[in-house]
Amino acid sequence: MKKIGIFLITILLVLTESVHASEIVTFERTSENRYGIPERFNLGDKQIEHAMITPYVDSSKKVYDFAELFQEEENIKLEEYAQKISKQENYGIVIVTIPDLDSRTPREYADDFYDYNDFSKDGILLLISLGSRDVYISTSGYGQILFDNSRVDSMIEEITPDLSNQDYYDAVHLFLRETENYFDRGPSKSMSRCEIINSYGDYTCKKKVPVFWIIPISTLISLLVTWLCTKKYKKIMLADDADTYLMKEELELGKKVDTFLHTSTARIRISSNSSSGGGGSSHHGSSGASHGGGGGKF
Amino acid sequence: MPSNVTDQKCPSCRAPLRYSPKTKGWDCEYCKTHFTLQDLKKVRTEKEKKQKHPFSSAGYTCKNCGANILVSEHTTATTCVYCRSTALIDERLENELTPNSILPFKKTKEEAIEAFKKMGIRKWFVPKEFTSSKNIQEIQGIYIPFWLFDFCLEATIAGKGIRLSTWITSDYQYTKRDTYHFEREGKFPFYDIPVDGSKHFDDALMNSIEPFDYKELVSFDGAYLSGFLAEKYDQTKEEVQSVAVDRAATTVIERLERGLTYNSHTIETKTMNPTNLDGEYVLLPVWLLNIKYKDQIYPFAMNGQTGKMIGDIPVQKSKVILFFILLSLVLSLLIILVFVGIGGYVL
Repeated sequence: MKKIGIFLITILLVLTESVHASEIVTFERTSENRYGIPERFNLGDKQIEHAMITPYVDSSKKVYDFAELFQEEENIKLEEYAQKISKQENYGIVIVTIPDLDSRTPREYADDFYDYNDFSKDGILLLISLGSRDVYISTSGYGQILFDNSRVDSMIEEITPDLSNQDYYDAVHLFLRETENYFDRGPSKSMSRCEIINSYGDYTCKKKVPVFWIIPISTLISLLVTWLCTKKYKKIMLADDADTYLMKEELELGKKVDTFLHTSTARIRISSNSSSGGGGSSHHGSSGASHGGGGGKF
Repeated sequence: MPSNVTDQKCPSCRAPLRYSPKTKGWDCEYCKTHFTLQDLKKVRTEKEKKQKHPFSSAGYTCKNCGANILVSEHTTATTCVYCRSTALIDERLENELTPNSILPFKKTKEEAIEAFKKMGIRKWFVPKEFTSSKNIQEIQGIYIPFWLFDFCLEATIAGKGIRLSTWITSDYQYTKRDTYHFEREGKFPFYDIPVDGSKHFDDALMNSIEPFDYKELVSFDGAYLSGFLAEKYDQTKEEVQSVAVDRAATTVIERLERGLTYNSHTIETKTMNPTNLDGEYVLLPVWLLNIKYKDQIYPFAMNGQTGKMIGDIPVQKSKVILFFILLSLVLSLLIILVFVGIGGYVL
């Protein structure tokens, strides 16, 4: 009886174990493989330091569920979906879940994970840190232009309710749908004039000439100038002063009186500047690469 | 019985004698002799010893040709339409109607026409043939009656003044508003403020050709009027003195306000008291032109002493609109160019 019981429990354990995602393959970072740091980055102490604490994964995959948030089936579905988008657009699409952060902030972890693995230079990464309850999106290369600040903020807002509800699959699936959506729409109007200028993913944006404002303003100025020019054609004017007839040398000024009556003080509150809005703002990761992104708590 | 209208006659050959602004004397067209005022005065006193002038009130007879001429109520000198000699209506120049002084013409009719023609220069919007002399419908050299006022204006102003100060802390911007009561006073002397004494002449037009240089005023003599038209005043000194006082008041208030150091102020009361008010009746020379262009009359006036020519010039709408459109386009292009060229903006 006892033997059958133990046997059954073992079978059960093995089964539940295999229902979870298969082990994630990681490699070692050594001086031989350049610590897994892509060619386009320098091999400095800082880079090596950060790379060593970042998992070196098989970059052909898209979903890295270290926190084991997904079932086997869910994992496969998300992997399929992410692969499809990635191939279609030739972008890096990365989903990373971790039990908790190390010494790094969500931003640093996300940037490092993307940089120190062989992902495409343009891409987007979603990080979910279960222990610290952080969600973070990191963008690289052209991903910074396509997924600008307001789009990233919007995506975070969309998926946070599902994350809070522990519907992790739904959250990530929604993230991928949103990503696909933005690919279809292309860059937003304000970012459409931006382009990448180097291999680190830095970009500049050209501003548009505000023709919409220039035309009325120059019309107004021309109106004023024209009016001033025609003013001197109407010369007949009734005189209202007698300045030329005043004998300035003989004038006398009398007593001056200035009496204080009362005072009053008013104040208005100065509002502090809140910076927000769309557009892009970028920072540099430890690798030197330019990243965009944003995050929040769930 | 009709009044006799005297004309200046050349003492030598009896031809009509006109005052010439160029030579500042009287030149006879026929015998080419030049006379100064003294010469004429000498002749006149001798003549007056012999003659007497009867006056009446209805109708005027030209002394030269005997025609009955029509004059308006206030004309003192005019040209006989029949024989074109100057007719001076003496009784309108008698006693208190005698002007104190006269400023003789310095500019001739030709100079007035030239000045008018030149008005179109450097004014882009003037219709092309506006300043052609053929548009001059009428041109008259007239001695216009003026009252010149001297007075000392004793003025006081009083009101409220506001002084503001602002400062900033980390959370707020404060504005403090101090209210004061102020008073200012002064005595301001004015000399020779001209007020047009005739309702026939547009006050604004007369104001616009100011100033005259009163140093060239001379004692009145009827001889100066020859060759020109003249009018006597139809508004008395008392009727028009407020115009002079009001003009002076504007100047005085502006002066007194200079002594205020407030951010803003309002004047609540003011007193203006002219003392030692004196008004002198003078005749000032003005060339009046009536310009006819496209069925509209444009009045122009030239100061007969300084030559300052004033009038409202019509503006050719099509030129103005063209200018405005071109300017807008050029300005827009320029601004866009600056944005693209210097700012590196993109269309």
